Amino acid sequence: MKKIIDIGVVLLCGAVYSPLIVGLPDGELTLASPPLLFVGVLASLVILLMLAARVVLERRDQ
Amino acid sequence: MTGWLAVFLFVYVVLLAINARQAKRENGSDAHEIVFARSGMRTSLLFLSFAATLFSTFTLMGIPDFFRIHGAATWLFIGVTDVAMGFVVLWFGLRYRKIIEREGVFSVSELLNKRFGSALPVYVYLIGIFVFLAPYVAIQIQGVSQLLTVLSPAGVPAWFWAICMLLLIGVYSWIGGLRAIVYSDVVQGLVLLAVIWLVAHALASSAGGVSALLSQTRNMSPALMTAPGPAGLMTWQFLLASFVSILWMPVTQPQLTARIAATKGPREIPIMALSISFFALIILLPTIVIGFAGAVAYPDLSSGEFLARILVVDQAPVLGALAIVGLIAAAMSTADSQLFALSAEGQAGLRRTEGAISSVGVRILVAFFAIGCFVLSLLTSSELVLLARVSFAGTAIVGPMIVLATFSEGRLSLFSPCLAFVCLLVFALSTLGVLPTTFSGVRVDLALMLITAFIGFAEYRIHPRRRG
Repeated sequence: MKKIIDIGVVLLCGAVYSPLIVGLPDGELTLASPPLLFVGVLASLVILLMLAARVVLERRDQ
Repeated sequence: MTGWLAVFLFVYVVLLAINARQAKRENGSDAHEIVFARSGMRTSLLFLSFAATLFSTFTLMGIPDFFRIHGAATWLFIGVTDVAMGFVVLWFGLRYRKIIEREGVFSVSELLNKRFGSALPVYVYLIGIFVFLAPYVAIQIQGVSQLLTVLSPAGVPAWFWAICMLLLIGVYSWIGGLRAIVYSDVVQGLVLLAVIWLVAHALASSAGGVSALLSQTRNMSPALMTAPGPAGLMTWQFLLASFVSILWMPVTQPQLTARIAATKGPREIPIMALSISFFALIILLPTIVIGFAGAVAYPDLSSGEFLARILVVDQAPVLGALAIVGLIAAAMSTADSQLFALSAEGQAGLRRTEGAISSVGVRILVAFFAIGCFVLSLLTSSELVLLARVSFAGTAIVGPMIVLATFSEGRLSLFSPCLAFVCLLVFALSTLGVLPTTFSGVRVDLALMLITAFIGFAEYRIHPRRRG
């Protein structure tokens, strides 16, 4: 499970810094065209939640 | 505002004095306690100290200005990166702290010496951190000094403020060592957090809320809401290279590894990592508001004038005074940690007798580096964030070598340190304009970081005793 989270966060960061996300156009907040800032903040929150899950697993194993 | 400023400065200096006295009492006369806090410190203190060191004037001054000039992509540049950094603290910190416990090393220099069996990797590491961190310390001091000059009555030069801050840092570092710095970082980090939220709240309220502010920004300049931003800086290569170089910071920057080393044990690392990520999120979110408020109100002002107005002049006197103290605290919390860590690593790396650390030697080195940084602060004129980024990228090049030493067992070859040295040289020449900044369309810094990481990983995989 810890490895899945580790790989997941690497893939998520890879996606965020790919031309696909960096090239997001400005737009209204819809699922079809989310603005760059919204996607960035959302990605940060998801990374934080993944880290929290990873920390819980690490503490359990300790 | 002057009255409030005097009160806040007095309280701030008194708190620093109390911290230094308390630290001196706890340290005793043990040099390892003074320099490395060997017996360990509480995680709550260390994570706040880590955060205060990380989020410096770069955060309170540089990032809002970056949002103002380069727009929403700044969040990818710093927000996503600093939250993701928690994973690096976790992965690296767990292993590094176990090695400290098992092998009795207290610094990266000692670890490199032990793993590579040579002084060469230590010199490469010291060159990397001295060359690229000293200008960063200098620009922290310079940024705040210049702002204080703009705000103070005419005739008080920036060098006066720089000397005042460096003297204060020197005094409490001298008295209380690493512990005093960590305690003062806690005060400075909390002041920074309070200031940044109060300023952002005041600005959002006057703009009619965050949504209204974002709409105003979009109407003012739609390019601010997309990458690469109005100036064209935020390309995916720039953002990716920045992401990689900032992620290396907990590994390569001695003021951060010192805090990982000062934990009570590996069990403390996961909580520390999560706390750092959470702190990163809550301290960076308000910078969006401050930056975009500046983009709407002051799109054409210079950085210094914009910051002076938005952080101080436009605020209520009590908040403006608190912001000035927050800026001083932000600069000092980073500068003190970096000066002390540079000195500690310098002494640990260059001493000839294993285990011998002189607290007086470290203190003298702190004074020496402080003078060097003061001179640099008089000469430097580059933009805060971009110089900081060069500093992060430069130190990132030695990162794979440190990770290789941390995760491997037994004696390692000198190939990675030699490669790191060549890459440092290429990066320095590229930064100075002697060599090009791109090669076949790829940024040189990104290429060098990928090359050193790939070679380091390859060596780890083929190393016969890689499992720790």
